[in-house]
Amino acid sequence: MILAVETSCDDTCAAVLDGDELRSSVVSSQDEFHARYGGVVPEVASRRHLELINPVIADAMEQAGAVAEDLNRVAVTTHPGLIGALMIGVATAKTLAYSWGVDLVGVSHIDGHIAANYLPPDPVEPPFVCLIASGGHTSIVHVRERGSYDLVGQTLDDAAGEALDKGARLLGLDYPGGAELDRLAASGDSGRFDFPIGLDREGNHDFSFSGLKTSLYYFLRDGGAEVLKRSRADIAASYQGAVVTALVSKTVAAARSLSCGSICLSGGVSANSELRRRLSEACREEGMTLRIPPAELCTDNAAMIASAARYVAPLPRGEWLALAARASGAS
Amino acid sequence: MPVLAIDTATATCSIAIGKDGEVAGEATFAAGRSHLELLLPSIDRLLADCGFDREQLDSIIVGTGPGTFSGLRVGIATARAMSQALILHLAGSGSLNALAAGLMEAGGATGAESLLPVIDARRGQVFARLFSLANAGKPVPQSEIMCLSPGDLLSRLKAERRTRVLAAGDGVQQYHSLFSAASGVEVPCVDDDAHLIKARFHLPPAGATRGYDFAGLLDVTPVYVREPDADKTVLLRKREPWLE
Ligand SMILES: [Zn+2]
Repeated sequence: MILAVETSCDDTCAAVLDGDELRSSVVSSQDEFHARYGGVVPEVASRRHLELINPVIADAMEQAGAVAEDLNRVAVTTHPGLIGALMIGVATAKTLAYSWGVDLVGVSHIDGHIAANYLPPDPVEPPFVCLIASGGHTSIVHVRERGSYDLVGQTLDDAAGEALDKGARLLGLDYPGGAELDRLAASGDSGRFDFPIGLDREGNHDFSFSGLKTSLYYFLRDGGAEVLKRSRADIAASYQGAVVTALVSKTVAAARSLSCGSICLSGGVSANSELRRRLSEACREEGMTLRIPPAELCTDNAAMIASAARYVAPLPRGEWLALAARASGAS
Repeated sequence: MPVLAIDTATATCSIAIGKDGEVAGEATFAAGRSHLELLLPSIDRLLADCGFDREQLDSIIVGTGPGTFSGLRVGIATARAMSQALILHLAGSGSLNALAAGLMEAGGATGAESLLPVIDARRGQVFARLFSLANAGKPVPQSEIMCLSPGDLLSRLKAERRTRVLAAGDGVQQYHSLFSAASGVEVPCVDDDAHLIKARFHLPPAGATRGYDFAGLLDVTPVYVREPDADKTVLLRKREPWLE
């Protein structure tokens, strides 16, 4: 049985995984604390993680009906993320492992998002191409087998979720505005305005969203309040459409170039209805299969970290006692 | 029964194991910003050196600052996790108090009237608190915890006509010439050991044991004094004009 801890951004998470059975997954969101700042404030996130981490772990153990003797591993996200936030999880997880006398496994957050696909109710077997899109990362990976993959493409600047949130804010929606933007866009015409798609070249699997965001800024500035009032839903739909087009076309192109017929999705942006619609449409046209884990496994959670930890060898004890957190690095 | 004490409020990491009111072992070393890497291995080593198993521990006491936020959080997260996993009583203890208790030993010899532990708060400020030596056992706080510039702190001492103040801590080391030049204030040499917080001064007196309770564990939190700064969000806004 594995207890996993995840504190890389603004959610404090713990989960217990027993073989293929997910016994518990607790997520304590900090959204309300950061909303007033209009973004995640690292120091606020770190303070909140320290307040929440012990109760969240106690809940995860209790809901799982697990006691310390049942565990043979503690897993924790070591990177990438907010360094001060990661440190709370790493300090806590390695001290738990030390106290209980079990192994510790350090896991990359990205590996966690990929491994969300191995969890019930609908576990996926590699090979597949996985698009990981959230407020913190946007990557395409080619998973050859569980625990082993190649990075195919990634964002060179903003993450897709960040681009959606920032666009939402420009349109006057409250943080975090991605979901609100999605709702607004549903009643709009995505073909009405043209927003640029970054790195839109054959064979380029990387993303760039900063130009898109800038173009919305100038579009709104030059059009003034009038255009915003008259065409808010159409702007939302066109802007979101540009983000989704980049995600869909690059993911499908990557799968095609790798002759891989299976696509998976993970990360918070997978909740976006336009992305789900367009990606399933594209997969149907290409004869590829698309699998999306349930929403609670796509957004940040510790179940995915436990899942990834099954395919990572624990470090020697002396090394994990001295384990640190890292802000960057994919795997 | 052995008690583990931890202090990570400053760039110094200090741990101690006490038993029956005596110090069974201690380690105090420069950790810089690497408390996360260094703390747990040093606890493991000290327990082994003292011949104790972690399961024999009776309780944990951790320095709650004020001090550097991330250092404090590593010490407190570690202490809390150990308490939770091993079902040990956990208590917090002010880091300025431990620094004052350490100074008290030296204070008698120099004939100081009050103690002024000072911890570097960065950004040109220090955390400080005045203690009196009146009580022979323990320094007694005479002020609230202050967060101010060293210049303002010294002006305040002068206004209060305080003399024979013994000041030490990494805040004094950082502004050593300023503190040395102040009249009525005595400071140890810049590299004196008295500037370091030693965890053994957090150890409780013999016989002071209590049971584990989870609510009590959650009460052990850092003394931040300063509000979280939202500077990073502000910076982000400046870099990105479209967010205005
Ligand atoms: Zn994530």
